[in-house]
This record gives sequence, C-alpha cells and structure tokens, in this order.
Amino acid sequence: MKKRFIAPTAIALAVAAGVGGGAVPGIVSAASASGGTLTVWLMTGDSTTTVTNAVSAQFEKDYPGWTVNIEVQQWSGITAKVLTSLASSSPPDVMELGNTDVAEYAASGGLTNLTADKSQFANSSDWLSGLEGPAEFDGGLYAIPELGGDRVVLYNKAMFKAAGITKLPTDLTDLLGDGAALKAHYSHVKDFSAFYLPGEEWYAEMPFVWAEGGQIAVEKGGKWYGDLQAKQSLVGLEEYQAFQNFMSTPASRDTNENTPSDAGILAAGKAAMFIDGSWTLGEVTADNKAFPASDLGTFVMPGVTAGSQAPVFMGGSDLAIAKNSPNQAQALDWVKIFNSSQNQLLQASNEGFIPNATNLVSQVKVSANVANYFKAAAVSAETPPVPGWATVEADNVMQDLFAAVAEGKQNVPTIAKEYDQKLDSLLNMSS
Amino acid sequence: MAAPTLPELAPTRSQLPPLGPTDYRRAKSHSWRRSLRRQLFPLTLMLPALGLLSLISLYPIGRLVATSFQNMGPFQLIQHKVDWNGFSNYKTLFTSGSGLGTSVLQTAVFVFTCVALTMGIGTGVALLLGRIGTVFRTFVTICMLLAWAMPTAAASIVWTWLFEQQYGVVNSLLSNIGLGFSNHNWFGSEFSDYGIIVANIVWGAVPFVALMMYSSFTLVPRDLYEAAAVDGASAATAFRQVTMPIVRPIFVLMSVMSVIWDGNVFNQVWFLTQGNAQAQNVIPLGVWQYIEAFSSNQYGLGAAVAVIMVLLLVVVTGYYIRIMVRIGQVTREARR
Repeated sequence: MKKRFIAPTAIALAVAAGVGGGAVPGIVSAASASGGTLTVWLMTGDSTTTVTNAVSAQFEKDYPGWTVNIEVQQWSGITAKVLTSLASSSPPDVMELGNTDVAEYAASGGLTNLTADKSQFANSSDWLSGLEGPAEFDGGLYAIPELGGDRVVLYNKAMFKAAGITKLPTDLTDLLGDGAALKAHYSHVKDFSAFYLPGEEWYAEMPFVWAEGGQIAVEKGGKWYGDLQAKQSLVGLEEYQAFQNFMSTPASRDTNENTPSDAGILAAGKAAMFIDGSWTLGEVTADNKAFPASDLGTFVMPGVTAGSQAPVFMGGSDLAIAKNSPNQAQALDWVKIFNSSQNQLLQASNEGFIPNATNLVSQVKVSANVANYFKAAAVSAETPPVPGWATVEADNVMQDLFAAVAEGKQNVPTIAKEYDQKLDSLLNMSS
Repeated sequence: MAAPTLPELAPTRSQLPPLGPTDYRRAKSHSWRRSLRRQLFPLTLMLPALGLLSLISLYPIGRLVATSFQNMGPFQLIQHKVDWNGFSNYKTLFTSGSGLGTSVLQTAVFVFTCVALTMGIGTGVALLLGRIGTVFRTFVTICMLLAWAMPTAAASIVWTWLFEQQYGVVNSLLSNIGLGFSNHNWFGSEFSDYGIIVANIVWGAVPFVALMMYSSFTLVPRDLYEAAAVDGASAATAFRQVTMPIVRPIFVLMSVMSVIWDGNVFNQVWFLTQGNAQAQNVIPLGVWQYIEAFSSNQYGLGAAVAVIMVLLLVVVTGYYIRIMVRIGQVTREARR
C-alpha cells in the first residue's frame, strides 16, 4: 500500500515542480526528503534475490524511508519495452541491459551519461573489457558492468578415458585428434558427435575467427565494415567449417544449442563434448539423473598455438540509469552498492557469474568446473560497439552466417562476402 | 370522364420545376421535428459503440498512417521528436530489393493456399459430419474443438518438436516405415517452411469452418434433396444445385474471414521459423512488418508496410463484401 501511494505522490510533486515531462537530472524532487521508491528492472535468470536483497538492504539503510522495487523482466521483446519506458516520463530508475545492446539505447539519448562518475565506482579501472567496451558510446560511458558470462567446453570424462585420451587438448589440432579417437571408439553409437557444435551457436564459433586474428567488423573513417573477407577471418571460418563437419552430426549444421539441447545430447551419451555457458553444468545431470556428476568436466577452448586460449565471446549485462528518472542520485548509489567488491564476489560465488572486474576473478572460491569459466574470461573479444549491432542480433545474422558455413552450400569466401554486405548496411544504420 | 393518365395524377420529378430550399422547408416543416427525432434516436444509441470503435480502432489506424510518413526510430521515440519525412518510407519500400515485392507475392500465394485448403477440407469434413452417426459426430466434433481451442503459439512450438530434425516424431515415423527421412531438415528451405506453416494453419482453421459449414448444411430443407433425387440428380449435382445456393452466404463469409485471418497471421510463422523468418526468406506481410518495425526499430518503415497491408486487405475484402451484398439482395428478392 505504501509503495503504491508514494509513487503517485512523487509524480504529482514532480509535475507541480514543473519537471513532469522529463525530469532534469540534479533536481532532487521533494519526495526524496521523506522517502520514495526506487524501481529497478533486472532480467530473468540473472542476479538472484540473495544478491539483490543484500544490495537493497544496504541502500535502504543509507536512504531511510526509501524502498527498492525490483521488477524481473523477460528477455523476449525486451528492446521494445525498454525503449518505450525510456521514452516515458516515469521510467524505471535502474535497468539491466544486455551488454551488446547498450550502444543502441545510449544513441537514442535515453540513458544518463556516467562518464564523470566512473572513478567513484569500485574496481572501475579493472572492469572486464567485454562488458565495459560495449557500454561506451561516442566517447561516453552509459552503463556499468553488472555480470559476465562466457562459454567453455564441457566433456564426459568417462568417454575420454574409454577412448584412451589421457590429457586435455592444448591446441586445436590436439582437440581434433581427440575427436578422431572418440569417433573411432564410439562408431557404434548412432548420431554420435565427438564435439556437438550446432551451426547457429555463433558465440562458440566466432572464437575460431578471433583465434586466427580475424574480426566481425572494423571501423574505417567513422563507419563500420564487415571484415569476414579478411584473410585471417576466412582462415578462421574455414577451420570452423572443417571442425564442425568432422566433430558434429550433419543434423546439427542448421540448428541452435537449445532445440535439441546440447546438454541433453551429452547427457544421453550422444556426444563427448559441447561448448556452452555455466548454466548448462546443472542441465546435464538434470537431464539424465543416472549421469555421474563426477564424470562432467570442463576445459577452456584451446587456440591455434599450443597452450593458447581461443578468445571467448563475453556475454553479460550492464546496469544503466534512465535519463528521465527523477531519482538520479539514488539510482547512482544503488548501482554503486551493486558494483562493490563485496556484492560482486557474493554474486560470483553464489551464482557462478563472472565478477565484473579482473582483480576480483582470482578472489572467488568456486568449483574446478566453474573456475574454467573465470579462466576463459581473461582472453575475450568484443562485438562492434554501435547501435546497429542490436539489429544484427535481432535479425540472427551471426547465427545464419555460421549455419551457412557449416552447411557449405556455397564456398566460404562467397558466404563471407554476402554477410559482409549485410553487416555493412546494418552496422551503419542511423538510429 | 376518361381516366386521367398517370402523369396528370402524379407528375414525375422531371416535370416539376426545380425545388428551392424554401420548398423543402415548407414541405417538411410540419414533421421535421418528429423525423429528426426519429433519425437521431438510433444515432444516439449507436454513439457509445461508435465512440469505442473510434478509440480502439480509428485512432490507432490514424496514428499508424501518421507514423508511416515519419522517420521514427528509438531516437525520435525517446526525444519525443516528430520527424516528418513525406513519402520517404514508401519510396524505400517501392525501391527494388526492399523485399516488398517478395513479401506481397509470398502473402498472396500463402493466403490463397491456406484459404483454399481450409475451405475445401472444412466443407468436406462438414459433409462427412452430416453422414455419420451421432456418436462419431460427437467424437469428431470434440476432437476438432480441441484442435481449435489450442493456442496458436503453443501449437506451433509443439509442431517444431514434431518436425525436429534429429529427434522429431515425424522423421522417426517416416524413416521407420522405410521412407528414408532420417535427419531430414524440414526447416531448411522456404518451400518446406511454408509447407509446414500452411499445414499448421489449415489444421487449426479447419475445425471452425467445418462446424460452421455443418450447421449451415442443417438449414437446407430435406425435401429439396428428395425432389432433386426424384429428378434424377446425382449427389454432386444436388450439392451444386441445392446445397451451395443456400449455404453460399456462409461459405463466402467464412472465406472472407479466412482471408483476413491468414493475411494477418503472425504467431504460426514466427514460432515455426523460431524467430528466423527473415533469414529463411519467409516474409509474409504480417511478419515482415514486425521485423521492419521491431527488429530494426524502424517504426516509420514498419508502419508503412502495415498501411500497405491494410490497403491490400481492404481491396480483397471489399471485393468479397460486394459479392455478399449481391447475394443478400438476391435472397431478399427471392423471398418477396
């Protein structure tokens, strides 16, 4: 009851003060003296209540009379929802945004510029580049890293042992050799994949290109151009094609990692390896209760030279403040508390997400399987930090690129040319 | 005295001098209040409905048309900027390579196929319902109602599992009976995609059409069939000459509604292609306008596609409505 009463009062006061249409940052509304409600949008499946309760408890101690209202949002259709609420005069104060989407929201002018406040945030000089980079737009910082997630290889230790593999692969050639041994040993299993790699799982496939020094796109004179036809990119794409076709089933060339579920395929004994996020660790044993948890291992995807890591795609989320929020100061402080070392470590040890700064990564106590996700984060690559990238993702351009390469209906340079053209037009689209 | 000829009794309109405003007033002055009241009363009764319709239908259409003449993206939305750009969105759409031609052609073929199959199979099932016993009829009706009551989104997702490449039931069945469909990718080409989408839509639409057509068949008096049989008409002739003329208004109405439903279809296409419609070149207008507006966040361009879609549907349904009106007149005259 209290919450519901306070919000309209705050709006009424703001309107009375003449800031109803779009509250001016810096003007603290009269409501803040006595209290108010801070609304925070978080995405489903990310920070759990253990972390958010700790953050909000600290905030409510610092701001007596204030309450924090956390609203959990679904990913489906989130872009339209965020955009329309940013356009309204009473948006949520703090929002969790997918790291690669920040540039689009920043370009539209709906987010508060946090550049001047950066030094006040804990560990801000050590933030993960894969989370901070995409939050920068036009020289300004518009969001701060919340949590990170990447992908490593999950494998069945018992199958490795049965196939006579005694040590984990240190480079791509090693991995292919292990794949050949597994395929030979399990040739009697129908639809067996030594390494199940669905063609549309681009997050796990772009590392082949990055490992060779290729890029998705490069900036030239203020414009972005697809760079898939560059020599290193083509080498990476061709290596991926050979790897996928050798290691995974023909049926996997044009599918994604969810239908059928990659974890389910490993759990059913139809694959010895797959690559995915830390959330799939639990899925394997959940899908097949008879699968011994001790048989599940992880290792970082190796690169082309011995002992190297293939750069991972750093997925994750950033926290941003809506420009039209009348509670700028409170919103900033809530984000600061969230970003503190203490709460980042709590989140990492509790939920397995990678903490947002490199200096925190070594401090987290986690299982050996989760530790490899943290280890992989040390070598990461970024997607182009431009508003048009959100459309590239929405249109599934990268998924289709890697499915097309896996299917190989055209040769790789032809496919690369086609997708470079798509990237050229989408990345430079004015918002 | 000879009977007066008709013109003398009542001069035709052309024989009279033209009427001025005063003449009308004089002629109607005695009854205008009553007549006005008589005309206003039904209008007043309609007001709430009209008001509601304008609010939920006309206002959005007005906004849609206005947006289609604007450059509208996230920036304009958040900054509350109105950026008129004339016919620019339409020019973009009518430039070759925009996808409009493909989309319109796909929509036309897709809607025609869906409606023809739905009406054909629906009518066939309705005829069947008339011939089977009560127990079977109830059974078939319940089965159809269940299929019809299934939410389209849920049904489409279940269908993606049925047709799944490696573990799907369909591939498993087909390969078990020796047809070699093991690992067949049903969602690998636009034709195959459309085939499954059409099958899904027809499956969901047939029950309603069948039940409507069945109930309309029950309106046909039995003795007409007896008379036709006496005249030596075959079953097909009786259907053509007796049944169809009577149920045609319902048949046309169902077709019109199917055209509108299938022209606007979104869920089935979206879920069966798993959000990958554009990449697979499956872009009927209803899906394409969503992609333009909400994947690319170009709301102006998306609105322009939606306007074109509305115009096309108006043309198609306008044609059908004309047929319906004509059928209505024929029926009324026949009753007189």
